[in-house]
Amino acid sequence: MNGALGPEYMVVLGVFASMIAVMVSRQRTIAAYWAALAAVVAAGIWTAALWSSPALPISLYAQGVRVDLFSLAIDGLVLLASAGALLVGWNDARYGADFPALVLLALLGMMVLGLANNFLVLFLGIELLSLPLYVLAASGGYAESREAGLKYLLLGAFSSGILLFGLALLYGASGTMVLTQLANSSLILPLAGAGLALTVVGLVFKLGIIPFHMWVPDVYEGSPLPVTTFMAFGTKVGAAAILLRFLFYGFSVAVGWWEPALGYLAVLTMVAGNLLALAQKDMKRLLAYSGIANAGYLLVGISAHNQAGARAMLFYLLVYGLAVLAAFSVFTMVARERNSVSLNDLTGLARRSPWLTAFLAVAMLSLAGIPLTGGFVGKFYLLQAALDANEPGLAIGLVVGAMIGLAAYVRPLQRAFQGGDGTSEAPVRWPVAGAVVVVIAVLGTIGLGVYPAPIVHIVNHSAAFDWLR
Amino acid sequence: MITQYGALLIYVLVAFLVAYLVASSSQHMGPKAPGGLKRVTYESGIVPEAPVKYFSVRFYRVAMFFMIFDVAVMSLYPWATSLRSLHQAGMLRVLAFLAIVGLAFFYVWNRGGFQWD
Amino acid sequence: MFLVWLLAVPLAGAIATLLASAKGAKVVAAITSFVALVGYAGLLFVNRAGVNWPWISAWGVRFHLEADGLGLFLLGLNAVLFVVAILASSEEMGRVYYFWLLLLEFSVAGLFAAVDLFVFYVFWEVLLIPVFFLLTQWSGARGKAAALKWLIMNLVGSFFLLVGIVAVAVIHHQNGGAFTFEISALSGMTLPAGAATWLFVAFLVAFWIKAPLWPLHGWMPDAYGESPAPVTALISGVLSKAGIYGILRVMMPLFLPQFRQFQLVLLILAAIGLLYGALAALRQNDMKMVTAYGSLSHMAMMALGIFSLTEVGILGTTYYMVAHGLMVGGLFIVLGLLESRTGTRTIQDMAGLNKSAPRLAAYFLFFVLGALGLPGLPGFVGEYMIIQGLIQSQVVFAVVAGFVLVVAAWYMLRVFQAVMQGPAKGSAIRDLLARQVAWLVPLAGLVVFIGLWPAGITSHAAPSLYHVTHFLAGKGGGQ
Repeated sequence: MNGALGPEYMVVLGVFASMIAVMVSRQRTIAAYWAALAAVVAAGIWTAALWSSPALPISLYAQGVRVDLFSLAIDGLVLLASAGALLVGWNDARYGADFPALVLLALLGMMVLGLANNFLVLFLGIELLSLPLYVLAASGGYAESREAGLKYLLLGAFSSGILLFGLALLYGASGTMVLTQLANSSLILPLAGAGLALTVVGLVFKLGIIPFHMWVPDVYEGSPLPVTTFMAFGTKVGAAAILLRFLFYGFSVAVGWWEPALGYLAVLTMVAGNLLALAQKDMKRLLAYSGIANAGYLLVGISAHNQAGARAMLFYLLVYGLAVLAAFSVFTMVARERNSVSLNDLTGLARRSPWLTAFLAVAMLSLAGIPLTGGFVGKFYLLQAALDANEPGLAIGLVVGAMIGLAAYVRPLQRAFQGGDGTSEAPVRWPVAGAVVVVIAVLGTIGLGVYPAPIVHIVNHSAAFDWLR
Repeated sequence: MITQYGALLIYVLVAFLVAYLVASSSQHMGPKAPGGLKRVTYESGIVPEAPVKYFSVRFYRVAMFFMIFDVAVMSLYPWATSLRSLHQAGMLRVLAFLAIVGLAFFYVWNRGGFQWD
Repeated sequence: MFLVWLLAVPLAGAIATLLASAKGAKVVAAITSFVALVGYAGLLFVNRAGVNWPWISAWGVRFHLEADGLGLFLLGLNAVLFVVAILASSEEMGRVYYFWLLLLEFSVAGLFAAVDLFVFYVFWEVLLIPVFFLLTQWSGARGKAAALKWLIMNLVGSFFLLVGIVAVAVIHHQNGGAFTFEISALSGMTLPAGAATWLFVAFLVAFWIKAPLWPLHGWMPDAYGESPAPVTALISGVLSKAGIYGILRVMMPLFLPQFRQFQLVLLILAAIGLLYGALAALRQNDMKMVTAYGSLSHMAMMALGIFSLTEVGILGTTYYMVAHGLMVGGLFIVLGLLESRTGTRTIQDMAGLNKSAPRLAAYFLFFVLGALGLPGLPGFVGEYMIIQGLIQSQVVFAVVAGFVLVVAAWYMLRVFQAVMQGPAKGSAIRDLLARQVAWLVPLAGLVVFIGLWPAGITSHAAPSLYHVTHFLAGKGGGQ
């Protein structure tokens, strides 16, 4: 055992603790939040302690899970995402007392996805991630939220079915369920091809790649703001992690089967996602389409299929997540008791709350990929990976997408710096928990832009796929 | 191979063709009378007088809980059949499992999941 | 370390302006820019050592800044023009305005000192943001659209530049070299034949847009027309040089064979831009737009100097960049002073202002004469050297350039005549205030100084261009 799964156990204990806290005192739900946050922090400390453990990499449960530096990096990312979501929605009665427990359950699913090395564990992780999110999406209690929950449930179940079918075909074609053994097994070709295609479709559905993105804008728009934050960051990390693990471990040899297809999907997603983002007036929808486009960037790292690609993807997940956390916590503060922020709500924000506007500007510029923010370094890393893999098409697609995206991201900023209409000149109130998130996320974004070397060092270690170039 | 199954293919095609022809013959041959009562929801039924009542969503909740706890308890059967060979370790793990299920059960109870209203 | 001073002081000052009171921001900014200028003097006379710190060692990126002859005087131009622009701005602008100005000074200083492509690109793109916000918030009615246009057009170029930079580094690495972005390490590398042209175009488009050069100058009229005078002075005086500087600094070492291959096309494009800018300037009735299009024409002149691919032409461009920056910066600021007094920019609405404002008229005339290339003033020296280079390589373009000089005199004097001379129309205006003269005199003095002693710049710039010119001479290019 040697504690390799310690972070996961911490999260399980956190789920129990927050459930018990809710049962003990139904009025003071804050105990549940504290319990969940403590679990997240404990898991984070354990993850950090495991980092230099000599026992890694280690396979457990008949090669069902594989704990290595990659899975630890994913753990760190999803822990950050859930800590952010918990703080953004800190003790808000609107989302019900179950919010922290459900967030932790979904977090567990994401962590399982990070270390899955077996079809069954993979599927377990996907379901563990999805089921709490279906409930969370519907937890707002208003009509759009219920619609989002139902839509997410139906389409998610559909994609799970496709995924399961694909996994079954792959098992039939190879005779093994272990990802690391897939490369060495003799595959029955048409069956394996179909299985691979269906599995990849099921996974990119969770990632929100065009043309499997239809659910993303509606679900993001309808869900309560903290849930959207969590979905935008955490789900993306989990889905990207398992897609990378599945393809790099299982199909590095048969790279010709999936690499061109994923490359085209990536370019399509980056360009179309950003184009659609241009047309949005609702900030949640804007970030939803931005999330789609950013999933395309992540796919660049995967379809580059080299070590630099995996590293760039990990790095980009971090910078994207920080920008999303910052942007959503600002939006949550602006929205207050409402649940959406439109372009008009941002008008004159610079006069009402100059600091908040500055934070939003950093987040948006990072998403747009302007230097001295993390977003630029992330895109730079992805470009390196794409060009190193001799895929200039991916590189061009990336920059074209970034160009279009830029216009989408600066529009809210222009609104914010515009003069207000004078109706709501009161400064925006800062809840302490949200302020913590936004300050940390903004400092991290700038820090990653100015001095990314330490994080580059970490991702270079964690994505050690030695058999790749 | 193909010659062997060729007959089957032709059979399937003919079957589909016949089914299609029969099913679509009324559309091709019958008179068309659009408009009027055709637009009513239940063209040939009873005109609904009150808003339609779907069956209660509470049944869905009951079904969900039944599914979850039933499947959970089902997992005890394989353990029970190999109780002896699993010794104490198996016992401990099942107890842990039951504790988790029990916690979930009490949570649902506490949050009012079993109340009919 | 004076180089770090040039970067650190504006950055620290930018943060200080945010903490200052609304009225005190200008004072803080002025002091900051002056301290930066003192740092530049130190750079010039005391110690020119650069810095070379590891930044992202995994990618071979180093924070490498040098002040060689190519960038040295542009750094000076930057330091000087920012002092003038900040002094010329009103206190009413508020602290965020000065914050963006100083951030702009920081990023431009970094750009002119960077010799690592990654660092170069970082500063190249960062400088878009301050200008974007300056245009959004402190400009005319269509400022928002102008800002978007500025940002999007420039970023389109930058993103291609980004691909180009990464591709060059990756190709260098794949050819067996170290993974580095150092320009000196990458210079003269062999590029695969197919990729070379594409990379050349990717780099060129970015610099072409920033300069701007015809036909990629779409953002220019709006941005120049809408921005407040000090910002216009900075965009045309300093930022536009970044494009030309980029061609010299980045493209010349990397793409010399391509330059030779496409020389004729580039010369033709630049010549069209030269004519277009001059003729468009002739047709404007807005005195600011006359200067803007005149500046477009001058940028094309600098491009011609580079594309002549001769030593004297390139040196002429290096010199002309500094000279033009000082003159056009001063001209835009004088125009701003004039506009704030008359409330209009249309030349038909003004006449005979030299009666009521003789000192303003004198400075206006001075900068106008500089811009049209009067001998003795620096514009003449630069243009002379560029035309000499053109004669050495392609005489036709020298003729075109000579013709445009005549047109330049025409459109500049037309403005001056209409605005300042003739019978006075309308009410009298206030003449220059003493504090405005206080910073116009040193600026004019500097212009005269480099006009009288061009060797001060060219003798420093020549060694930095040694590699390029040596290569040209060795292969017999352009001779």
